[in-house]
Amino acid sequence: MNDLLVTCTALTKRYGRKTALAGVNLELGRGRIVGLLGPNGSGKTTLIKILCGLLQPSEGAVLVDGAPVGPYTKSIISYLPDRMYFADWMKATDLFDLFADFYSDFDRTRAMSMCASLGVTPSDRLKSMSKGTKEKVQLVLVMARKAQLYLLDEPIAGVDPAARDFILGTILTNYNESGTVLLSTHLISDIEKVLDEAVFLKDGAVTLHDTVDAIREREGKSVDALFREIFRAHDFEGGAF
Amino acid sequence: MFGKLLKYDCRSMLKQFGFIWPAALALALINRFTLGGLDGSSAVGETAAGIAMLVYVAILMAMFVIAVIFVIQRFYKGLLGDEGYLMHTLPVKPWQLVASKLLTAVLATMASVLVAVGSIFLIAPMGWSDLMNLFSFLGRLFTHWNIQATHAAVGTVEVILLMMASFAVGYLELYLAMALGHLFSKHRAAMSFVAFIGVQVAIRILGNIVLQPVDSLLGSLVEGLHGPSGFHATVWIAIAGEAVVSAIYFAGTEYILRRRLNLE
Amino acid sequence: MEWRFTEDRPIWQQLTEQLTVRILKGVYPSGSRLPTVRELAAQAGVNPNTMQRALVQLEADGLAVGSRTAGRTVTEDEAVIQAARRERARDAVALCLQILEELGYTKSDALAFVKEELRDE
Repeated sequence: MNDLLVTCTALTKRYGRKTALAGVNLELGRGRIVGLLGPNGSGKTTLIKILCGLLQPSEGAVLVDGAPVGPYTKSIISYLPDRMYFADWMKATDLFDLFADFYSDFDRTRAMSMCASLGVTPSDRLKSMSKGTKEKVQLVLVMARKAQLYLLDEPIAGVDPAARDFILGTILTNYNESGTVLLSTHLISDIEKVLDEAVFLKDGAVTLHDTVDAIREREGKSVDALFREIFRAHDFEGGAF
Repeated sequence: MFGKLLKYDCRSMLKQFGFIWPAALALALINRFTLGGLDGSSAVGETAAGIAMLVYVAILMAMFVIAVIFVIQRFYKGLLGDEGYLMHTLPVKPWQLVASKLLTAVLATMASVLVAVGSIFLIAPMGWSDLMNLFSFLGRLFTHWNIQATHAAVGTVEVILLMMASFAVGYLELYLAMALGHLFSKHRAAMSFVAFIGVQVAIRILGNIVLQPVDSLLGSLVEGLHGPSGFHATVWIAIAGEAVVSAIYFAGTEYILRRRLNLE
Repeated sequence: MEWRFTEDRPIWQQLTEQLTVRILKGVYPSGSRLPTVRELAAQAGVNPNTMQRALVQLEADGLAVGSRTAGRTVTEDEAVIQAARRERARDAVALCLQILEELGYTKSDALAFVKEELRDE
């Protein structure tokens, strides 16, 4: 087992002429909940997708548990994407079968009990489920694994406050204690108290990486307040703030 | 892991063809009974026979259209679209993903061919004895041509293998074109189409330069062989040729998925 | 009793304070077993590591005893609880005095005022 779970070295990603990540250096340890914070377009999704192998970096290197991205790292990463990815004709239980087949750390019993507490009927076809319910199914799939690294891309964007609390509660009560959760968001006030560490991403570069308590102690203000100060020039989307 | 991938791809295949295969066979069975109406004894019978035949032909055509759509969609949507988010985060190697899609595609096509051929047997008003007669006729034919039964059996298997190989080449060409289209950051579907034409042209040129001399060399080699052994040799050379082209397409597709994947 | 956090200070310090208040109020009676870190973290909606740090402080203050694995209990040492209560009371009085001084009361005026208020009650 490697001491560091994630190591990014001079990670750069360009889409044509646009630079999404500009030399990101990032090290993440084990057993923490880390917030990947930045406004829309700062490179959060790009970084997460590189970690799970859906995007290839233009330059730089990534190591997860000491290994380059590949079948091994994929077997220890549990990824919640920013979109729905499964075929509509399946049932939630079909997806549980699939996950149980491919991921040895998937706990079917836990998935079923999470469904029960979330009010999801797993034998329903996904087609007949509302968008919110489908998102819950996806969350169950991701959190019912005993993974080493959970990558959650905007898990609380676009949901009402009650659902938000529920999602955060689910993450807090279900993540593997020796695993690390990296969750991206631009809604910081809602999640600040669940975080160990905060990583600020601005224009594709890491501008701050520290523990939430250290930031509060040093700055005398919340991470949320600091975030607003740093990113004031940015144009935030919607009325979230 | 490969077996598990195959299991899920086969499930989606059954989902796709679960209706059309039984439908084609059922329509063939209906035709078997309505076909008698064509003798002109009643106008109603004639109309019924005509409609039944029309529906049957339409279903067969639909089946092959579905097969082509299935091949393209399972790759494009399954690996390069939203479903790719799931497939590419599974702990499997890219070649396994491609191979599973390919094997399922070839299986689906072969099953469709089998259904089409089977349906013809269903339409023709033949009993078991007729079928036996057909086989014994074929047997006598081969004896007449001085071909041993084993050669005939092996030859049939070889032709089926050749069929599968040529389907595989065709599908891998589509896969490579889609993978090449994926390299562009915009208009990926359109670029896939352009890539498809590009691959076609490239393989023709390559064929002319490389394969022509090899072909004529092999041709003269085969010409020296007569009878069954000549047939076997020809088929195997053809299979080998398809295998070489397949390998090139497969390697190209796998490389792009492994090193150049960018799901946005 | 709800968990509330202000923006200006580390969350673990605020957690320690609120756990202390809960012990003084008898929400967690003397000698009783405290909920696990994970349970407390889920209740408060905070990170388990943050809650762990707060509990370590609670142990350092002598209010909680035991280990993480065996489970923590509230101390049975009444002297420690009384000391903690006095400590909180002292803070409260200091804050009260500070506000009254800002309002223009001298210390003796303030004392007289408080006595008067208590008599009226």
